Amino acid sequence: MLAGMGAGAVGVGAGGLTMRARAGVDGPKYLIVIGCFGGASMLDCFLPVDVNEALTHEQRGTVISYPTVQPSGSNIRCVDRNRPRQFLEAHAADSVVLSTLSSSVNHNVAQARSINGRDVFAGRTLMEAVASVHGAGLPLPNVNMGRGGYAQPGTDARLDPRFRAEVVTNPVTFALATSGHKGLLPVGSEPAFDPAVRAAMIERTRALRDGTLEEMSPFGQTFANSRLRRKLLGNRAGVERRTEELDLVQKLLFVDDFGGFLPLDDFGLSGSAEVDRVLDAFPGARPTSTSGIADERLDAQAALAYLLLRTGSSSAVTLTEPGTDGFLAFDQSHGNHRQAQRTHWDRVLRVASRLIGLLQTAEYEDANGPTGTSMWDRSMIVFATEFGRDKWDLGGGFGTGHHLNNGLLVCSPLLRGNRSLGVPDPNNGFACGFDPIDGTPTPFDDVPAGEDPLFSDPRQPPSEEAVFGTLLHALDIEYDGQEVIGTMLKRTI
Amino acid sequence: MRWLPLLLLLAGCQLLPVPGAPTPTPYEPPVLDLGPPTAVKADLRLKRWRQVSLDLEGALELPGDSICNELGLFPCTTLNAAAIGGISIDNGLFRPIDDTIPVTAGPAIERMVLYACTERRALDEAGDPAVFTVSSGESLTAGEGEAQIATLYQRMLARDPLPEEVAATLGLHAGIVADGGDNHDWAWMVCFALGTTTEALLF
Amino acid sequence: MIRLLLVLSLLPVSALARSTAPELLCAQYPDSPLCIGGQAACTTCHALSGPPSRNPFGQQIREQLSLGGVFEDEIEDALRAVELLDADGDGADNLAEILGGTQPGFDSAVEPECAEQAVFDNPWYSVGVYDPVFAFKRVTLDFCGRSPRYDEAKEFEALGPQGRTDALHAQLDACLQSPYWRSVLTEMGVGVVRPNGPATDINVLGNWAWDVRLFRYAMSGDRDAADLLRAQYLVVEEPPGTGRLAAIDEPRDVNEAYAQPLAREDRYGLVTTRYSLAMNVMFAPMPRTLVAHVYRELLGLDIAKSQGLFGVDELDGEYPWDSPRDVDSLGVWQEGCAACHATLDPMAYPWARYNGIDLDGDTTGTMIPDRAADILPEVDGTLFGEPIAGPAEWIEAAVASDAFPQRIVTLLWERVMRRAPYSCESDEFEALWRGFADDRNAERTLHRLIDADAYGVP
Repeated sequence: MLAGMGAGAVGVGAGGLTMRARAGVDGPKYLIVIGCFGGASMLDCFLPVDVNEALTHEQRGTVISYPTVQPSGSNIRCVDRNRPRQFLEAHAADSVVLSTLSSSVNHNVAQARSINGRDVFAGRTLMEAVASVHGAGLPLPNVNMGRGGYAQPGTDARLDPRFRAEVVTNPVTFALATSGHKGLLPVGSEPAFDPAVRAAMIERTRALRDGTLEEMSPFGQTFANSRLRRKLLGNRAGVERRTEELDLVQKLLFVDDFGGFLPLDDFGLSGSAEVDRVLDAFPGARPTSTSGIADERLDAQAALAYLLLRTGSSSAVTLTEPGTDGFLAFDQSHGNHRQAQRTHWDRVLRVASRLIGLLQTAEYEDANGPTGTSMWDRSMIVFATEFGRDKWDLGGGFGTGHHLNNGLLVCSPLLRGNRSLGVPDPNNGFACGFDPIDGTPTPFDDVPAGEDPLFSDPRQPPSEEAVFGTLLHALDIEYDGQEVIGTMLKRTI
Repeated sequence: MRWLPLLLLLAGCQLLPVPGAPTPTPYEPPVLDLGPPTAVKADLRLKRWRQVSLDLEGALELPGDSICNELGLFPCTTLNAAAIGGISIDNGLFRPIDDTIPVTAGPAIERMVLYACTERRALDEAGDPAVFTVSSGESLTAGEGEAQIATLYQRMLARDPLPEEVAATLGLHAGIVADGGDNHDWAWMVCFALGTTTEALLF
Repeated sequence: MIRLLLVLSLLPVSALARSTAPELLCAQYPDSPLCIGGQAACTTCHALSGPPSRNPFGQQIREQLSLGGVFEDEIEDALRAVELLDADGDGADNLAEILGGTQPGFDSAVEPECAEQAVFDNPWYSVGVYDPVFAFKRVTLDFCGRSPRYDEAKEFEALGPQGRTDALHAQLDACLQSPYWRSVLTEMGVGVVRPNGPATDINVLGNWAWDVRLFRYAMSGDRDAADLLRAQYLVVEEPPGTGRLAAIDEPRDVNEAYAQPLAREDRYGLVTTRYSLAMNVMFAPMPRTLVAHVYRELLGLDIAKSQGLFGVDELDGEYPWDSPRDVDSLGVWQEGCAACHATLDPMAYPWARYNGIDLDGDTTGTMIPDRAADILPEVDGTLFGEPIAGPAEWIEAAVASDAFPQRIVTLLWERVMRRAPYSCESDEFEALWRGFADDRNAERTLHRLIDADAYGVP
């Protein structure tokens, strides 16, 4: 069957979309998107050109290359540097690296497309799709700590609002906003400062407010039709009660007292039972000033992401690499490409590896109790990025611009791992595509050395739609018109 | 559905005269109290964090920096701002979230109101009461209670309470005492209740 | 049905809709409101993200086209064939939606807020009609940031009809001077400028506070909001820390000169601030991101969503599609790229002499007379499909367009109303932006807004 971006390759059937999900067959699936903000180049990590093979062109320079290595047990090659090597040594079995072709060199636009598949599924993002299938019944099905296009909501007006992303701007203190009162006032002997007495009084007062005063008031009577008012009251009766009953204010709090700097005890809070484990993995997650902002924001995002999944609060969480400067991250490549890529790949790989470690050692429990499987067994980490970078080393501390041809790293036991799909061309730095059935590379054989293949060349890698469809399929989500790269999957279709 | 009984009545039967029978009294349908007509448009919006804060400042005569603090350290107005219509440049949230109510918006607002009511209460208990005028102890006279309720309605909702609202709010007192509180706790809870009604938060 | 991906490419299939589609649709339905300006938006047939993804209407068209056929020859019949279908399932057939100006590819059910109010006897609110008391609370909250106090509300309620109208506008005038409204304008400015990095003049990417001040200044007082695009002055806080703004013609000291180095005669509002040039031009010879940003944020046209496309064929038919010259050899002449770049590139040429970041020297954010002259000897370009000789003409064409007032009023409306206009408010919205097009003053527009039923009907 002919498919591809041209010949009617759309995710929309006449008359609308249908979606099928196999959620429940073997339990929910969890998605973690790490937005590698600014353009994480696969040429500088897991689809490298070896330094001995790179072409040097008189006008263009030398194709960006590195000493490369294929760690023991890994079918994936990497630049010969500690962090990428260690990542493959630990996680190659669950990793897939594939070449990709973005459709925009604008940061915000391309970031959004990397998570919405260019609107192929009614405009839903990966996270919204996962939340709508695997997040029903969860208090915070979709949490987004992202930035830029990675935080951009989808455009499907029919998406149940419950599955829209809950935006988190500070992972450290987020937990506090899941309760209307717990931990707000210092503990004391008077009724108002006795947490149990106060909770009882508030419960009683809320019942009067929502059950009686709302119905009696002129405002309530006049604006009974208001969609917003009904939504607000519905939240109170539903999800807000739930977040309090689940005590998320404590379970999602990953900071400790640190010797009185954060007076949790004084306010009747104790934090998550896993706080030590989480802070061991992510020591930078602690706030070190009265701003409440973590010393290392990516650590804090990862800490909250783990707890959201572990506590059964969420099914999709999004992180975004803030970068060493808090905003450019991989886009520092404009100034010094190699340094920016090295620094930020190392950062995201470190955090991801720690997060995988926590998930691997967290047992998944279903309604019947412990299952003997881990959270990681049903999770996926997508290292989303908007595009790649220019392919040529100009010497010195050269900078690079944005480039559509790139690759993607995905880690998940749900995929057919330890695969590298597509091969970087030492003559131009482009990663070629691959046969979607068996993964055979489609090299740019007849393109003269030093010249770029056309973006319309059929040997180019897959674009956003196919990647999007494949990832969702691996997460047990199907929709009409879904494009799937079969070779990435464990199951035959 | 409120209008259904009226429609049914309007479509209802009319008694037909029986020949030779006394002239029947025309049927008069009872006057139904269907309540006032609701607004069809009912297009409301939720206060943003700054509006919640300014209203609490004005209603409870509090300075802006004592509206809410988490753990005594972090101003919760800015900490939770994104959930309540704020922006965050550091996080690339350049425009407020207006097309949905985040899950944490409701609890975040409740925290602000509860904290502000607590601050006002502490000030009033320490000096000349400006808002919480009710006496200490567990027994409350109707007059004292009504005056306190009126004060809080005027401050928090800029109007006078309906009689039924006074009665319902007075009725909370017994339960608060049963929970372990007293008059001040009751008034404090009324502050919290009124400050978090949809009337207080939507406009 | 899952479709296995067998061919991975941008296939140059001839039945693909091309940039002629908007004109052809409007040639067929010239009276459609979708065709204001002579061409329909690409989202008439395509997904919000733009081609090639199609919305349901676009898919119905696609199914009528033959593979290998000539699009221009087949489109008319294809459109006719689907006229009586309802692509988006909203109950209105495609033809009705096209002629009615609603999108045939997106569900456009009438909002519940637009239903008719049949009974009005509410003792507390004037439901269904403009309610000045309701509006007074809104004005005070929207613009002063607080609710009316008890005495204030009573005082207003005691006024007669004309008194209430006068008091409403007096309240608005007073609130527009409030610190709250200043903070709102600041936030709106942030939404337009989209800053990154710290607000500091030292960081070459950081001094966006100047931009946000300019936004506040142009959108307040009796100023002409076209200064957002035209201003040659700079805006400072005077006295410092007060929040009050003042316009200065030239930097007053060496720090300000470093912060805004561009010569006065070369300044064009938010387009040419140092932050704008540093962030949006950076190191690129062709300022594409700069013009795309201005096009989107100040004219409301998002090229990434295929809005405002006026493709120019600079290669005179060398390819079957409109193609730019590709002056910097990035391959943007290719079909998948040219759909946007045939508009974007000619729009960017006039700004090529404005420098972005200079890490080695001191020309960041300045005009360099021969910048990019090797690839662009001349800087004439196009805007809205019309020839433009340079930046000044670009700006005047932008200010004179309908897009500018529509965008500015949209910014104000969406900030105050928290949403896009409902379908039943389209007339009032149009009146607002046309009124703004006449006087280009934000505050007078807000005075008109608070008089609208959209604002004051409970």
